[in-house]
Amino acid sequence: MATPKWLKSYTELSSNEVKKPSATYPDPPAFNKEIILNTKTKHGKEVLGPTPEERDTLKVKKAWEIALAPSKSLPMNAIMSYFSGSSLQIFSLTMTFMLFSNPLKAIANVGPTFARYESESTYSRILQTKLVFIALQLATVAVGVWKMGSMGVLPTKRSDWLAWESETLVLEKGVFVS
Amino acid sequence: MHVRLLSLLLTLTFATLVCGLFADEAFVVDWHVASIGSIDPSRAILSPDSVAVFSDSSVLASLDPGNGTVRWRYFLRESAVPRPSLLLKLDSSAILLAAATPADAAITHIAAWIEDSGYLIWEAYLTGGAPVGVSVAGDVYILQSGGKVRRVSHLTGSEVWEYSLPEGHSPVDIVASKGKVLIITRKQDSGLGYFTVNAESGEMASDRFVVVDKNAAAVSFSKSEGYGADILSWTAPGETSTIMVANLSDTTPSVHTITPKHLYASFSLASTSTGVVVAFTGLDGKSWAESYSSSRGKLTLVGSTDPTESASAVGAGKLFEISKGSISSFTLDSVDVNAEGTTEVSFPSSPIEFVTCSSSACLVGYQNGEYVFSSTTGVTWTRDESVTNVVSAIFMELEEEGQTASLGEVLFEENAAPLQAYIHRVKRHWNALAGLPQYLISFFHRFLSGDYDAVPIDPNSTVSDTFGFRKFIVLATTQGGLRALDTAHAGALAWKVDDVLQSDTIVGIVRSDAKDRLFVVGAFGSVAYVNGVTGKIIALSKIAQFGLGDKVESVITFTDDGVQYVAAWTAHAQLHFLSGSTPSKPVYFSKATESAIVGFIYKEDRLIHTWKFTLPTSSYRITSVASRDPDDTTVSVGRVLGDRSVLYKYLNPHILAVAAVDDATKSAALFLIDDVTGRLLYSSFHDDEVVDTAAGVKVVVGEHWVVYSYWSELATRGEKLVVLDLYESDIRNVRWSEGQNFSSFADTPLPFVQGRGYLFPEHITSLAVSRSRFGITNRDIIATLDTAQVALLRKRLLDARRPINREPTNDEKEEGLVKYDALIGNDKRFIVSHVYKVIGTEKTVCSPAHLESTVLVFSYGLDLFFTRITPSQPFDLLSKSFNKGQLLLTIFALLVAVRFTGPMVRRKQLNMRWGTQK
Repeated sequence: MATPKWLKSYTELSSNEVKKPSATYPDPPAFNKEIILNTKTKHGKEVLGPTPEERDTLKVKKAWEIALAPSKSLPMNAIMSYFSGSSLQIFSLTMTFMLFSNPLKAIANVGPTFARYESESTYSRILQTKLVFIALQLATVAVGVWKMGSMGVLPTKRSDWLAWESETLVLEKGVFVS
Repeated sequence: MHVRLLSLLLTLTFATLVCGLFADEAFVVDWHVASIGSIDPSRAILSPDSVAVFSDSSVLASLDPGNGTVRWRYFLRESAVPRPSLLLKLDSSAILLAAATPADAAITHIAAWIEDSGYLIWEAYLTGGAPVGVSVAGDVYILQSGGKVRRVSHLTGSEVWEYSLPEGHSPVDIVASKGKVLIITRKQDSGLGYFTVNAESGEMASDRFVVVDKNAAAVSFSKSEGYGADILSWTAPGETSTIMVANLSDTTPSVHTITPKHLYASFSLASTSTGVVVAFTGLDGKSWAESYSSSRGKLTLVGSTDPTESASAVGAGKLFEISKGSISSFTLDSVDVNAEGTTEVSFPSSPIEFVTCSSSACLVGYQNGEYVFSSTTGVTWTRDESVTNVVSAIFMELEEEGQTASLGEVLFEENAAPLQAYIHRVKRHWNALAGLPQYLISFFHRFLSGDYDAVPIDPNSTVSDTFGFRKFIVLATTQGGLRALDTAHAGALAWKVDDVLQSDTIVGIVRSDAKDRLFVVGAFGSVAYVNGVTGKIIALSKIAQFGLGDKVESVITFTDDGVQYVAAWTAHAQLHFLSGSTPSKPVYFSKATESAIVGFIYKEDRLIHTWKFTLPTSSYRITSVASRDPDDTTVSVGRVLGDRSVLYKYLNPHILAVAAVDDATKSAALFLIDDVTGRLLYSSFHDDEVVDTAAGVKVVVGEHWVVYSYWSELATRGEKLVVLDLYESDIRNVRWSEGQNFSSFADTPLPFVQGRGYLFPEHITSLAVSRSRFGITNRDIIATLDTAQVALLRKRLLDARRPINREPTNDEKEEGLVKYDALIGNDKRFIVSHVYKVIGTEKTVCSPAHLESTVLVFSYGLDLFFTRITPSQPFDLLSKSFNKGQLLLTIFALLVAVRFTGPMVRRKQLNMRWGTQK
């Protein structure tokens, strides 16, 4: 069933039926209709599309931007980790969790992230950006590991393995007669 | 398992330091039995409205004659000893106690007490020796062993006059009447006699020493105490057929001779309004009484009872005869002994030790430690004072209710062929279904009440509760009996056996390898095998090849390679194994003597003396020796420090802590030796202090630490508590014992010992260490105090690593250390006995409940005290204040909310997908 004309004119703002009547009114004073209507051709010359090489360079440039993005958040992460202290609190715990989950998610999605810039010709160059991206994400993970270490949840000390140490076997049986 | 342990450890780490007893737990989890100790008939006063007793344990008490409960009591350890001491009535409402002070026997402490309330009226300390005789005639007249006679005001206790006996007289007794005081003495060459002193002036009334008998031997004395005449009686040496009697109430006392009808072993004489009554015990154990009337200066026999298997006593004009099944009374007059009546009463079957009577009732002491107060109509009450003389106490585990699978059945299922085992298990489960309804009922009952630690209601049952709070405590008494107390029913008697070893004295009791069986061992080699839950004697035997004239000194039990051995150690250094097998591997024994520790090796069924550890100087005397509880388990081999490094514990199970004192220099010393080799591991001396050597040193060994205490006057007066923590090395993370077997014979490094001294303001009479089921819970030190209290001392507070003179660093704080403070105050929160007056406790034993957090504690000595402690908070137990209803209500409300909001959310999501709703 076709949409009735009245419904269309009331529900769709773009419909001509509403716009059209405006032409019957005169323009306000000092309104230059030419400027509004001819913006695209103001420079007076036709814009040509970029060459494929230029487009590749652009793509690689864009890919580098994405690859280096984690390096900007890295110092902030490090500083926040440092200042949130070593106590086991919900804030520092969530933060530490983020330091692991976000980079790992990003690494897992590295293909789709760079897929838009990837083509036959840019493959090797995009690969470099990918590796840099992964390295920087791993650096964020490293901050997380450092954070865990400072919280004392990494089994790096002797006491962490104490529970697995067993008692010494005693050879003699001594009995005190009270 | 490790994860669970770790999480538990984590919980314990965060458990706060402060934990005592909650108000709602008092009187619920704990109980106390107030005792008075063994009663001596000479220090018991029976009157119609009170029974006053000064017991062998120095307890002055007044019992309610109606029900036998203690109305008031004082533990007079500071001011009196049982012998020589005298208890008598001062007037109708007060009693008088005269006793030599324990510190100096030449000083007599005399005090008057109101009988109803126990208030002290007055007291006085008199020089001149121990009290020999006291007589009350208005004022108090006291004769002392130093030959002093004193008159003391009965109102104030102040001295009225003092009189010294002439040279050559040794005091015997004193009789005061109106106007004159008769002092009975023995003169060196004249024999027994008396002289008279003026009661008002304290001067000798006549200088005549009246000799009554030149050859008097044993002298007994019967004072009128307001009834009858003052009779002096004695026997001639070697003569058991006659008794000499003199009536001192006569103006000129004359000596009479009584010739009993039969030969006697002992007699007791009482005066009546008309003469005397003598109760005899014959050589054959039978007893009879004879009544004599005095008339015209002669004593004539007027009546007697027939010798029977009974005990008789005279109380204020009446004769009572008590046999095993009846109590009879007789009236006495100048012409005859008249049977008044006999009542059938079931008395204890134990032999009678003494009978003492008032005009209407008798107090009967039995050899098993029971005291029966009986009137002519029957037994009024019974007190069991045998629990004040405990040789040894032991906890008996009870079976849990509803345990359908016995160990044998489980073992069968594990070892049988799969199909057979399966059929067996199905059958077992089918049989267990019969108990399902009851289980469901109890489950819902418990669910609704929320009372999981409720004990089985029936006190007669022998099952444990869910948490293992109910156990039996079996006590072996010096009278040769066993008593089992129920921990869950305020120490009610579960069962009792008298004379287990048939007149052998018990040396010790130990648990056998069967869970509910006990070995009871006597000094002369008798062994009883007893069911500890029911009290039934399963077997009674003698140790085979028991040496002639040998005596069992102690009973030991130990486990080696999973086999439990029970052995008796005798004075001739013989070892008799009681449970059949003997160890195949060599076992090393050590034994303490007065001033040395002696080591032995037992191999090839022979005990060979090996080494001897002697104290540095001969003036030292060993006061106590302690070793680690062999059942104590170690969970962690190291101590984790704040920086997460580890100090490894020195866990040598052979450590023996030997505490010694030097009486001459008033110093104390502690030695840690290895009880296999006798090697000295550590020693510490307390030379520059004035140690109370009589009180000795109390010492306990915990996991890897030793705590000992002693009272000293310098530098600060108080009980010094010293803690020694033993580590393998002072260097962190160093464990030399790793990966090798520990042998005392190997040249192992000495332990690194860290020590701290603490000060406790009260006298500590004994120390004990708590032991939990798996050893995860902290260990507390249980101290019984001189102030009739039982206190918990936190080992976490008694730490040798507490920093001195500075605040703890962050690492130390993480370790749970607080700044060192020498004074461990007597914090009232740690007094687990709260308002109970737990007097005279000498020993404490602990037993773990089924719950890891909880330890059952039992102190004994004179009083009995039982409580449950949770050294690391009750972390595995919901608190009583936990609101179960609120929790259930919340869950219910959430369920309802989910039920209603669920459809709403579903509808909204559907609409969103259809795009019909924003």
